[in-house]
Formats: sequence, C-alpha cells, structure tokens
Amino acid sequence: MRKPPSLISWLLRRFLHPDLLNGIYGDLLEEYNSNLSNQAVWKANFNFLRSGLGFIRFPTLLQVSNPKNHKTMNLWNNYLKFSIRSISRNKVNTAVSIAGLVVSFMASIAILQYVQFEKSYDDFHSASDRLFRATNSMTTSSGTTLNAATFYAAKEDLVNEIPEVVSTAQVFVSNSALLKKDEQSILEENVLFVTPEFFELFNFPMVGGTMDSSPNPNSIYLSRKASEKLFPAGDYLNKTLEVSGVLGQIWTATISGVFDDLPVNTHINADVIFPVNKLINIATEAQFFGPNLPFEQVRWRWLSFHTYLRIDDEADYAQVELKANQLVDQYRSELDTRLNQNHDVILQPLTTIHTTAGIETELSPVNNLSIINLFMVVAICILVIGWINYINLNTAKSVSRAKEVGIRKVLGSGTLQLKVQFQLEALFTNVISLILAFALLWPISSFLEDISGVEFFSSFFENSRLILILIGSVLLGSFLSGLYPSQVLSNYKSIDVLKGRLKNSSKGVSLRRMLVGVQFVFTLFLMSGLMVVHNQMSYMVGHDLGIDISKTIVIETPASLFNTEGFTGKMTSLKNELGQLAGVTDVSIGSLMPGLVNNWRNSTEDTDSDKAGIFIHRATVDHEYFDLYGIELLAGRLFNRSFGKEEGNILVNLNSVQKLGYASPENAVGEDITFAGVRHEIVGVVDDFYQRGVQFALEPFSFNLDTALSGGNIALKLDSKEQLSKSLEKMETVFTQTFPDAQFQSQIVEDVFMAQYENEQRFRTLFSIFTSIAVIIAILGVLGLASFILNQRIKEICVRKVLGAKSSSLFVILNKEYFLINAVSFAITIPLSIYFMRNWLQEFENRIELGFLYFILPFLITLVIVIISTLGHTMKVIKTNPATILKEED
Amino acid sequence: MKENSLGELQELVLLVIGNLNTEAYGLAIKEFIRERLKRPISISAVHATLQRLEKKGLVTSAYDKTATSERGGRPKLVFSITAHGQKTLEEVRAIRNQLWDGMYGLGINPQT
Repeated sequence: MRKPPSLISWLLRRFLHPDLLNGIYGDLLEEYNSNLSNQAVWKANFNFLRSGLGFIRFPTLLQVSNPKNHKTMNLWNNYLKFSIRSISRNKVNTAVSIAGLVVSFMASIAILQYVQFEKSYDDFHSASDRLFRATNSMTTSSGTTLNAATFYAAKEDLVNEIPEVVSTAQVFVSNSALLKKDEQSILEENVLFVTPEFFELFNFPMVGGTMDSSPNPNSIYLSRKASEKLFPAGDYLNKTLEVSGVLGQIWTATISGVFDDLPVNTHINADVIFPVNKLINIATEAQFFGPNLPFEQVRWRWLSFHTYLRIDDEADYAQVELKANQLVDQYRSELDTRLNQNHDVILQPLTTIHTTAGIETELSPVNNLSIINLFMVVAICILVIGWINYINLNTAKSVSRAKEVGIRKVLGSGTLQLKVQFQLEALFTNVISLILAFALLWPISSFLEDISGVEFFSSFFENSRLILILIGSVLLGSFLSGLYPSQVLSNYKSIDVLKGRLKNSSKGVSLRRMLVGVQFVFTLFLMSGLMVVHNQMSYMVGHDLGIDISKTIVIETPASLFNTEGFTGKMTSLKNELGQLAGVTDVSIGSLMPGLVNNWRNSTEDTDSDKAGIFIHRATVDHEYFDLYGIELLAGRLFNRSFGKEEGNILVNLNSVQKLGYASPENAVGEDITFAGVRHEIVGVVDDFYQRGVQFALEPFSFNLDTALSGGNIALKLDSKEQLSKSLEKMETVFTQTFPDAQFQSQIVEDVFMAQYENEQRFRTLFSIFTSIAVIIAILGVLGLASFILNQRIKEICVRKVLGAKSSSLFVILNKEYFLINAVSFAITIPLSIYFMRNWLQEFENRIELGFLYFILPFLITLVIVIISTLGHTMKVIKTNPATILKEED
Repeated sequence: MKENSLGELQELVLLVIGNLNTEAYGLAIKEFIRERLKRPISISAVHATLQRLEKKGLVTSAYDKTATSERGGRPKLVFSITAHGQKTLEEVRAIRNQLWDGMYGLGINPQT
C-alpha cells in the first residue's frame, strides 16, 4: 500500500474537524487506493491533492470554525480589550511604569543616536571601505609618534609606484584667511590646500564650477556658506577676491567653484580651498626651506600633508601598506639614518579616523572609541533598569490582579491564554512607551543637539538598521519583561486566589530582590562613574599648569603684513602703546599661545646619536614672554636686552633637557643644540608647563629671541578680570591706529585653553544627565518592591508590635532588606567600575587615583535615597493599628 | 415549511443514502452519484452536504466498527435517514406529485 502525499495528510489531520476526521480521511484514503489500481501514481496523487484541498471550500468541516473553538479566535479581541482596560484601570501604576519605560527609552534612543552618529563619520563616500589615510608613524629614540599628515611625495609616488593604489589626494591645512571683496571682508577659519583629486575621492559635491586636473594656482573655492556671505545673489563664478593672511601672503584669487557645505560627520572641515600648486609656488618663492634646499629634496621631507588613497577593490590593504613602507624606506633611508629616525606608513581606514585617539595634527577633534562604547554600556544599563522597573511594578500589582486571574481560570481560561494576555499587556505598554518616547524626544532634540553636538532626527529615520535594532530590542524587551509577571500571574491557583489565601504568599520575592539588585549595580556603577568623571574634570581644570593663563588676552598680529616695510617699528610702538593702557600690566609678543597646538617642531641633529632625532617644539618670544606667563627659570638666564640680538642663543624647558639626556638643567646650560643645520647655544633652562590641556604629557619646548616682533600673538596681562571688556575697546582703537587695514582679533587665553576640555565637558554633561535618569528609574523600581514587600509583611509587623517592638526597631527590620541588597550590589559593582573607569582615565596623562571613596559614597547615597523614598510606606506600616489588620480572618 | 426546504443536491444525497441503505458513507455516495447519475462531484462537496443534512436533523451518522487497510484503518462514517428525513422526503415528493398531477390532471396535454 502506498502512502499519499504527506503534506495533505498533515493538513487534513491538522485542520479537519476531529469528529469528521476519521470518516473523511478514510474516504480519501479509500478513493486514493482504488485510484491507484487503475491510474498512474502521479495521477492518483494529484487526485488526492485535489480532493483534499477541496475541503478548504467548506469551513463547516474544518476545525477553526467549530463552535467550540470559536471563542479562542475571538479571544484576540478580548485580550486587547482587557489589556486596555487593565491599563486604564490602574492609572497611577500604569503611569509610573510607563513613565519609567518612556524615560529609559528616551535616554537610550538618544545615546544610540549619539553613538551611531559618532560611528558614521566618513561612511558616506562612495567605496568608503576602500579609502585609507596614510598615517605617519615616526620612531625616534624618545618613542613613537603618530601623525595624521605624511610627506608631500606620498601622493605622487604612492599612486605611481604601487599598482593597487587607484587614486590619491592630499590636504594641507592653512591658517585662517581674510577674504576681501570691494569693501566687504570676511575671515574664514577652515582653510585648506587640496589636490584636484580631493573632490573625486570624497563625496563633496560642487554646487557650481569645477576643479580641473591642473587648476589655476590663483583659483579659490568656497563653501556654499562662505560664498553666500560674499555673494548672496549667487553670481560668484570668476569673481576675484583679495586673499590675505594665508601663510603670510597676499594675492588676488579667482573663484572657480563653490562646493556644498561639508557634512557634520566628516573629519574634514573646509570653507576655503586653494589648489596645492599655489602652496608649492608660495613655498618655493618664500624659500620656506632655506635658500640651499631645492624643492626636489623637500618632497620626502615635508611632513605636513594629509594623504588619502583609494585602493583597488581586490587589493589586500596589508600588501599595499607593505609596499608603501618599502617606498618610504627607499627614499628616506639615508636621511633617516642621519637623523636617527624611522618613518612608517600606516594605512588607516577612513571611517576609523574619527574614533581613533592618539594621532597628532588631526583635522578635527576625535572621539575615542572607548568613550563611545562606554556610552553604549550606559544605554544598555538604562534600558535594563527600565525593564526591571516594569517587571517590579507589575509583579507588585499582581496581588491585586490575582482575583481577576482566579475568575478567568474558573471560567475556563488556560494558562497559555493568560500568559498571552499578560504578554500582550507588556507589549502594549512597551509600544505606547516607545511612541511616547519619540514624541517627547522631538521637542527636546534641539537641546540634546546643543549638548551632544549631534544632529538628532535628521538622520535617525534614514537609518533602517538603527530602527530595526530599536524595534527588535523593544520586542525582545517587552517579551522578557512580560515573561515573569505573566508566569507568576498565570500560575496562581484559582482556589487559593478566590479563598484569599494569596495575600501572604512570598512567591517570587527572591527573584525580584535580585532584579532590584541588578538595578542597584547599574545605579552604583553609573554614580561612581559620574563621580570619577566629575573629579577628573575638576582636577584637570584646577591642575597647576606651570604657566599663568589667567587675566590674559591675546591679539593676533596681522600675518599678512609680516614682510612689509617698517613692520617691526610699528609693532614696537603698538607694544608700547598697549602697555600704557590702564589696567594692562604686561605686554609680550610670542609665537606660542597656550591652548593652541604648536606645529613648529624640529628634530635635533647631533653627532652624538643619543641627542639626535629628538623632536622639540620651537617658538619665538620677546624679552617679556616668560614674565608675563609666569614661567620660572631653573638655570642659566633668560633673554636680556644687554646681550643684544642674541642670535644663536636658545632657551629650553626642563622636558627638553630630560629628553636630551642631561643630568640637570645646570649641565645643559652652555651646550649646543642643532636644528635644520643651524647651531644654537643653550643659555637658560625654564620650568615645564602644560602648553595644551593637562590630559596631554609635558612636551619639550625651545625658544629663540624674536627681535623682529613677528611672533604672531600679542599677549596682554590685565590686573583684574573686570578690566577685560573695558580694555578690549581701547585695545582695538590702538590696534587700528597702527594697522588700519588689519582685522582686530582677540581671544581670552583661558577660554582657548578650556576649549581643550570641550570633549570631556560634553562627556561630563551627558554622563550626568543619563546617570540621574538611571537613578530616578531605579528608585521607581525600589518603590515598587517596597510597597509589595511591606504589604506582605504587614501582619508580621503587627504581631511584632503587639509583642512590644519599638518603632525604631521595626524601622531597622524593614530597611535591613534594602541595605543587604545594596551591599551585595556594592560588592559586585566595585570590580566593574574599576575596570571601566580605569580604561577611561587611561586617556589622561594626569589623572586622579581611584579611591575607595568613589565606591562607598554612591553606596551611601543610594541607601539614603532608598530609605527616604520608602519612608512614607514604612511609616504607614509601622503606624498601623495592629487590631485592624489582625482581626481579619483568613 | 421553510426550515424543511431541501436543495437539489441535498435531496439527491438524501435519496442516495436511502438507496445505499446501510452502506451510505461519503465515498460510496460520491461513487453512486458519479456512476448511476453520471454526475461528477467532489468528495468534499458530498461531505459538506452531509453535514448540512445532519445539522437539519434529516440524517444521523455513526462510525461503523470495520477497519480496513485500504482506509488506513479508519472506520466509515455511515449515514442513515432519520424519521424526520423520511417525512421531509415524502413531503417533497408529495409536492412534486401534486405539481405533476396538476400538469396533466386539468386535461391540458402538451402533446395535443
């Protein structure tokens, strides 16, 4: 006997009405078997299939429409109805649990969005996974430094000599540019020199005009924003502008194109772009590298070009990296041996630039991956706390719903149906909360954008992956958070419930204690994290810098006028006049400004290999510089007018002395130091100071006397902070009298310096907000647990009271529980916090020690908060008249 | 009268059950209709009709005790006409007869 197609058999067995199944299925089999005797097998099978499927037409024969099962189908409506009813009946309870969920959703959506944004940097270029930056790694006797920029020659030589490299582009960062059109002039900060491939390699579209493969050196390209300032009508093409300030030059440039403003999530900032061949022209004309060095020899020495390459789709990038390194060795081996250095090329994927810390001369501030990941951890903590909160509040009200469950069971509800009911309620609450979270995030998104620097909603809904993750986790979360309450509720015995025996059941309390414990762990973790972040910030802000930056204003000298006639004379008189202003105590001119990165560095040359190849920052200063900034002299002498021009004399700081390997500052005085073939004699040693934020290590500095007063920054020390705004106007008047054509620009040094901590400040703000949110939600959860436990123990308390317990001892008994949970959580949190916080602190050169206080204090704070917040409940229970409770009979 | 109204197929199936006597189960009814009345019909339609008839109380069904291998060991669901079914059939027949009588009884012969 053959077997008919099993699918049909299964379908029939599954869907036919059980009363009829045997008869009908038997008929079909009989027909099939008789067909087999006079038909081909396939035909019999086909007929069986046709007859079997024919039953679909008759719902009366099928199981689904059997009157007995009809109720199950209608139950779906019923579930929904009851979900809505139960949600709207317990208004306060629902409000609290929804509020907890909404807040935790909001916080985690915001964090998710922030993290997503930080990770989205430069992922919008076509084939962005094939784009790399040639990052330079330089190893000298003093260690290895990574530099975002590499050699000028890298662009041509890499693409010409490595077949896998499809295309290369270069970027050179300039200082700010003053653009003048007739009477109107604007100052633009983000000025780049780029090679023509820049606009091909990156997805930065042109709005008008193009950049040829060999652009006119005197062309200029503006961002849309910049062009609209000068040409609101949009008639910018082929108009001329006077450019001044860029590398101390003035020239007339023709606008050849306007590009769209660069997106926020790229590491490149540009408002004004010049072609690189203009830079080469300036460099050769102005003899940047001295009169004796032909440009050909500079190609593999000029280490200031951010070089990007696109490699072939099939190419292995490790292979390309290897070839690039061989190329560098080939061209630089002789020089490197002489300078005692070694240069390597690291191909850094473009998309990782924004999240990789520790590379110098980046085009924009980076955000460390470990910080981004820490935020992810915070988001997960908050989500879990929110869901635990939901579980707690729901099981807390389970007692009041127990009667409903009992009745339902008596009326024939199965356990499964009850579970579906409670799961559906959880899903319902979660979805409502999610919608509310979005609705509430909308109005506050601009505030969030301000503090996080992230555009919120513009990109959120375009990111389908993010939305999927969100929906997926909400579904999973609502399932998990509904799992436990539904389990507890559906398992109540209907007889117990209806007889009222349930009140004293302690079922599930231990699990809920555990959940609250998890909440405490997260809360303690976030709180001690907040304390560490906060203290580290105050520590950095209050740290002794070795340099006095208070009450100091810096005016920028007009760079475009450096090479003009009588510049030094004008500067001398300006310096004198500024010094005579009321409230000004000191004036000094120097190239080094606290808080701003100094790009002038030289490597030492020496026959003694110990003292060769050490990179030392260089700066020019006048006689008053060290006095004004309060930098102390350790040995030798400062520059002094009685020594005249002091050409060939140099001052170094303590760090340089240590790097050069001298035993003491005294030993260094009188020694030689050679930069770029020029010998200097060390005449004095000054103390170390933090030129940038204290998160960076101390660096070696050297100073030459600048008798031409072309240092670039005029620093003014005021006698009080209140003088600041008043003196500014007077300063501007004096300045414009001396330099009528120049733009007056001033900065408060302290502000510039504090901008170094911007990332950390932002981190602190975000961290505080999210931590407070987590704490609030966690406390809601504790309240839920408290009311539940107190209800269960009320009889015990009454008995104790009758037996003569004092209120104070009852208070202790009731709060012992939280203390224990908190203490256990405390023990779990310590290693967790130590691990994450140590990781975070690693970023900072000067950091606080992780003390016990950072863990014990959050513990005490949460304990106090918990006791205070449950105080109302506790007191109510303690004050209850035992008679009212004990007279009730079970 | 309305609740007793029979569809054409229902009447047919009812009559076939009567003809088949004790062997009136789904497949047999289907085969009978196919062979004797030259009318192809699907087994599902037969069963659906049988259900309707049973719901109206015109037939009853019961599983017999036979279990053959060609039916995969499943018993036959055998239908038999109830007294109410018998009465309904007779009523239908009486109405038909009346009508037929009427066609000739008044002396109107279509042939002449």
